[in-house]
Amino acid sequence: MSARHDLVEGLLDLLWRQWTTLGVAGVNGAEPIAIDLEALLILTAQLSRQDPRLRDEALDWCAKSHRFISKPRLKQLLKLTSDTGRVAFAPFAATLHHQVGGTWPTAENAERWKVSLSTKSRAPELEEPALINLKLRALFGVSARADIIAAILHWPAPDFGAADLVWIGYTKRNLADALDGLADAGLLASVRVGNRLRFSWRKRRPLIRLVEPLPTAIPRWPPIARVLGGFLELLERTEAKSDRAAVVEAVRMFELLKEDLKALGVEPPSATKAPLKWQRVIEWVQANSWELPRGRQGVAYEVR
Amino acid sequence: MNFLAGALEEALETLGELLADRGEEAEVVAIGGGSLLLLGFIARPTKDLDLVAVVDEGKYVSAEPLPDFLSSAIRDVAAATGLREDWINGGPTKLLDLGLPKGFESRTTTRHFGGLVLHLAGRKDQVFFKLYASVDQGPDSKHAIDLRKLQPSSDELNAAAAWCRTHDSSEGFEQQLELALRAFGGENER
Repeated sequence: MSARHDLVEGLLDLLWRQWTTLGVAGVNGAEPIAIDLEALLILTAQLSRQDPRLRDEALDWCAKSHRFISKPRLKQLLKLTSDTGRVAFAPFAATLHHQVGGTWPTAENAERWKVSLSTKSRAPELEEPALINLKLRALFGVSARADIIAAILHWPAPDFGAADLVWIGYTKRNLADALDGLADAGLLASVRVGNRLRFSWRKRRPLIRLVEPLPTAIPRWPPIARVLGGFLELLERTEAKSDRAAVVEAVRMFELLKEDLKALGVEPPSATKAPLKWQRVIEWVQANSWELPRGRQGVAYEVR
Repeated sequence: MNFLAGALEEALETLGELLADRGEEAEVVAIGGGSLLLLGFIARPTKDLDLVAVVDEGKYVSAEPLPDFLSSAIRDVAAATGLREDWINGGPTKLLDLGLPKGFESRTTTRHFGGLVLHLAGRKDQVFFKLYASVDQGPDSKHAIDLRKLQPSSDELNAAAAWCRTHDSSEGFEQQLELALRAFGGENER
């Protein structure tokens, strides 16, 4: 089995588990790890060639529950997605437009898929810990506020600012406005440090009582999805190449993913200490493809 | 990071494969330590491969700057292997302005690495260049050591000296050239 095949299998398993947790007909068990709907949509479109049935069932779910999807956020995340990812999403968006109407980012001029929906999807069970983001959207509206709250539930530091949250997929201005609103409502406290506002929790416990049960992990899905998409592109592109040419492609890809890897606290493989070995690079890609979606720390490249 | 012949060959193979993969082709002319290493005349590690020219439609043209697609591929290989970004560079391309030794092209050895065609200066021409560099950098320089490895004959040194004078006719250079010729066993036939 090739590394690409293994990665595709692993990603499809992840996507099926997330979609069945959302309500797609299927048997994969749910994990108590938070799901990010827009990041999931983009990654699903990128893997649609590999599993058209997953694509069709995802579209079936969207046709029924599209009110949970944030189109502005989808648009913003697609801006940050690779060309390959955006191209892959266009027919998905065009099909959504055909099924449910409305304006979907990248749908313009794209050809839709001829899909007959199974209508087997059920509405999401919002008591599922993995669906905390959807529950918060049900409570606070499909908005930056809901997504900020999801992102800061397990925040690893005492305070945060708009700049710390841009990975969610909103502009810094939108985030600043939403944070101000949450502070005005008394959920957060704010303090000015220099010319910036820093925020901290004020009423975390009452909020948690309201939205429990919480997931065990709330991964930073937008950068994770872009990194996983980048890994997939890399392994597809290097399948017929020699190890040494593959390493060059890998370094180029890691450069493109630099900001996302940094946001996830993952150091990409570098040849500064020793020339990179393709087999080690594959192992690094596989290890991080396993750990990051589970909300765990990234794995360092091993120089042997 | 310096490299020995095996590592240089491997880096060139990677570069050639990368160029071919991107649908690009490059034809270049190398002189100096890196080329001597590839030809087996020396075994010392070298830090780069010096290009005297790029071949464009059959003609030698300046290797400064290198074509963008080639520079980009060179940098990509460097990032993956830990080599310096300028592990292939057009440092000595100014030699083109004053002229290469007569018949230079006919004495080159050609190597193919995927999308890269590499012409390596012949032994006689390397003697010319190394004498010129030795005069400039002294009898203990790496160039002087390389020149000794090439074991030039007296005739070759004299021919090299004549070519060097076409590049620098100053009195100071002539004095240094005389010293260098004595050191290498040649005679000043001027």
